[in-house]
Amino acid sequence: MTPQPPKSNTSATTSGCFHPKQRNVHYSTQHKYSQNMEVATTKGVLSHLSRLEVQKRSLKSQPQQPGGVKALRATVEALLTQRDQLRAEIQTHKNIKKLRVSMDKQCTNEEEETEEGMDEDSENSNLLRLMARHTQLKDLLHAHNVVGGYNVVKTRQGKGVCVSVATFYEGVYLNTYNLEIDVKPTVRISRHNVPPFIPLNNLAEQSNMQTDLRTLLDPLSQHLNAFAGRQQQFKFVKELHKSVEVMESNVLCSLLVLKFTVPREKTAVLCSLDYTDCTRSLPTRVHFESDDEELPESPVWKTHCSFLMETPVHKALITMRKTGNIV
Amino acid sequence: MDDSAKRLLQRLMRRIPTPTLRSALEKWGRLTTEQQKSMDFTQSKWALTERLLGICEENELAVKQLTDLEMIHVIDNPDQGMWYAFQLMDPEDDAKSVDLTQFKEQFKSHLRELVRNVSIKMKKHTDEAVWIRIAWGDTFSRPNHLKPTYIVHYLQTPYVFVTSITSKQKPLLSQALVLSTRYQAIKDANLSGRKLTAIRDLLMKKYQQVFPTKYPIPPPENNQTISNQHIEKEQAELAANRLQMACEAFGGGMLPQLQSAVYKLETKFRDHSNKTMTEREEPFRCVVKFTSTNLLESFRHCASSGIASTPVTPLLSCIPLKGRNYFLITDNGPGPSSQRGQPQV
Repeated sequence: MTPQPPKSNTSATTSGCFHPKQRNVHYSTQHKYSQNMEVATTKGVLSHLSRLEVQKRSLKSQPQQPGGVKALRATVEALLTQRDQLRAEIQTHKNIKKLRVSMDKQCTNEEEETEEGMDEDSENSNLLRLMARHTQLKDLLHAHNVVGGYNVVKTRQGKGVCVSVATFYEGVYLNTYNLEIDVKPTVRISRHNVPPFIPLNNLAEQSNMQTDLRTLLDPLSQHLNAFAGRQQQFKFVKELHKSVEVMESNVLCSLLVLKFTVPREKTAVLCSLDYTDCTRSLPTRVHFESDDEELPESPVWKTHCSFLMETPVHKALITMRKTGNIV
Repeated sequence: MDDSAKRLLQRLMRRIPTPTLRSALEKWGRLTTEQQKSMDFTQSKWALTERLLGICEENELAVKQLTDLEMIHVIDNPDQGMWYAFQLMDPEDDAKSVDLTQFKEQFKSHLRELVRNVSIKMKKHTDEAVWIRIAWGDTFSRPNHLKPTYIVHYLQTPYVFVTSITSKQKPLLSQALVLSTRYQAIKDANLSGRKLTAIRDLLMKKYQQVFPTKYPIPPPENNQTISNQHIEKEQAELAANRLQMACEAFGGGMLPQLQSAVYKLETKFRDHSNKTMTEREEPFRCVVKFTSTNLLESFRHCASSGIASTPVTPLLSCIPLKGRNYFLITDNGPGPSSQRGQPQV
């Protein structure tokens, strides 16, 4: 019976480790034995005997491993404990899996939580339930991350999806835009209700939507939310500030021209707000024009200029009217 | 007031119905309060026309001011005449920053380069639409104000809506539009209708669309007495499915009022029992036209009530999907005839 070389253990957690030399000696002895058997018949018995003597001497010259047997025994103990640990982990994993299956079923069927037949005592089963719930939430979070937090619904028996992009401004939910996307054979937008002044086709071309849909959805959400923000601001200006006349705006809400009236002098100031960056809801340029040419250069109006660059226009107007700078 | 002004006023009075006349005159603002009061709207149209002629003579109003009145009326009543949609293609980089002043200047200068004697009026409406009125003349004649073209365009969108234009005038208008909006080309959008609001809402996606969600839309409130509870029970789910599919194809709520859809077929005749027709070389030409007071509503009802099979055939659902109501259907090689809407040449 040939001695079997012990299984190698690559884990760093075990206390004992195998000496490769030992292993090789066993192996090489085996190997040489079979070799020798072949050679002996060809080269003669005496030479064979001398070779065996050489081998014996080399074996003797090898230093005996200190407490070799003891070390091996310790290794065996460590391995046994590790095996028990792993067995326990496998069992827990199996139980969690069973629990998850029933939990996931409960979630989709929205049934009342029922006690599954668990043989463990109540403390153990509670712990297991918690662990299963934890894995469920982690999976849910991962899935949510993958779709980027957008609402996604499967359509056409898995051949398509419908993604909803929500817009909101100042904590209020506004319009939701939807995209129906075919997934097979290629990723392609088949239907949507995004308005035509949002450059959806450009965003789709520039994105990597065949491999990662979020490269389309994230920029689109940015555009839509910025648009919704600007649209709300324009709406509030029209509703809340009737003394300010809206001279010009457009459907994309990328341009707003307002007419202010300065009290006392009753001069009119034309304020142009350019929102050339369509991914932002704050202007990129604020410009004042007035018959009084010195007015836009005055420090008061310079501060108004920077104020309007940093504050949503409807809020900025509230402040400007309160401080009496405009009617 | 010269003859042309008189004729224009008479034509206007024929066009504007009495109920809307008063508000139009008020908006026009060319009448003094006394003159406004002196108009007795219970009189006949002819009498009103005479009175208004008199007032215009008093105020020395000319064609220019009368075209204002016409524009006011058309903007407030856009759902008359036949409107055609066009689509601008391939925007330049600065197309999205074209502002109103720039567009106005550029359009006027480009059109004036192409046509001598043209009268252009441009007005911005509260809903951000730019309205353009063009009276066409040529080298030898003054602009004809009796047959003006009206154009509606929303800046930063690729759509243009036109009414009353001849085939000679179309290329001139196209050129001016393309250059002033900073796009590279313009094509026919194959969408037309009597109601500007309808074709506009369809292209700008301003109506309620229905998308697949986790929760189906609730069926409409049915006040009819249910004849048979068993039938109702069996049919409820099927009816809900049909309604969902019908709404996904055409939309929910109020739908844009299209009046017609035309399918021009140039396909091969397929009926194995009729050899004479199938063996013909030329394609089988046929025109299928659907008309209704509210075409999309009719289609949706057909689908939700089960008259048309669901899922809705792409031939019908591509009307709102592609925003067109004129289709040219040709065969695409061997096999079942495929549908490909091609732009009208």
